[in-house]
Amino acid sequence: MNHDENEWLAQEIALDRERRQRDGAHDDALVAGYRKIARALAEPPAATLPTDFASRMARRVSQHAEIDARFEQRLVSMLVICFALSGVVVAWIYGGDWLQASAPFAPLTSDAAGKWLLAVLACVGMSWAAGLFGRRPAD
Amino acid sequence: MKDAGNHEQDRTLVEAILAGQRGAFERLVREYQGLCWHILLRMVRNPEDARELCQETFLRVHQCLHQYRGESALKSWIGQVAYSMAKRHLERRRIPLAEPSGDQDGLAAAETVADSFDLVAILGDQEMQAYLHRAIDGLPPLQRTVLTLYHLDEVPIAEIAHITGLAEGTIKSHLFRARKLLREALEHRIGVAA
Repeated sequence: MNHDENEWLAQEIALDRERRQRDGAHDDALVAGYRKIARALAEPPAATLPTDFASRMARRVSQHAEIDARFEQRLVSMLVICFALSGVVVAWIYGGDWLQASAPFAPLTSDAAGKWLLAVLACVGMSWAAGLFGRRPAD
Repeated sequence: MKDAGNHEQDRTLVEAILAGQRGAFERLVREYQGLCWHILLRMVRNPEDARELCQETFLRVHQCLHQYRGESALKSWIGQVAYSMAKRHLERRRIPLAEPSGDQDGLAAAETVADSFDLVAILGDQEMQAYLHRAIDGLPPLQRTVLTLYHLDEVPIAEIAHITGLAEGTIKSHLFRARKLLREALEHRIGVAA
């Protein structure tokens, strides 16, 4: 065993004896020296984190999550509005052509059928909107 | 088996946080704040900077938690985040990671002193501990951190290697050289005092 290996061994023995709080009466000078070093190294630093650090962090993170969720919700709402407006504009421009093209299916465009179709679309739209706006960000 | 059990606990805690369970993240912070604090304080030394980095570390942990796959201990994973935050902080300030900080107390001169002093008998305990703490502060950031993780937090060498991204042999070498340097500094001090 070379000199460095011996010294590594002395360092590890000192650490082990210090952790087990063994009596140092029989330690040789090298191990005794390393025990002093192990003792100093095992002391926690004088500066500490605030005692409420964990709860403060948890609050900060949940605020962040809430802000993120709110932002996401607003973004989704804006996209939906943009999509709906585009739909209205497209219907305004091409609506006439569509009506002319659907003339052969006259029974479907009759008054009664049109009302039923509108009612179904309104139901679907309302449940979808209720689901979208009723959602709340997670805690 | 113990590791597998610990990883299972880690995964359960992470799943609870990702599911938004109340109090789960606070539990994680409470569990690992000591480790992060030791890494950050030993690396950057300034308590104010370390406190700020500790907050940033846990914010980053929360943001990236979905990336944790349970392949390593959560402790190592969080330690890795803290270590990389501190490393980046030192790089921004151009502070070298593995070189002495310049205000070391006689560490270099210590090499000329012989091995055979009876350290225990000559200096008073308190004086010796205070001197040692100054000498530890004078070590390079990486060595200070490796020593603290190994001695104070009782983190095994393999896990320190994982946290720092260095090879186990490199960690052993840092441990060995830093402790030897401290012993020599102590002997030098005794030589001066005698």
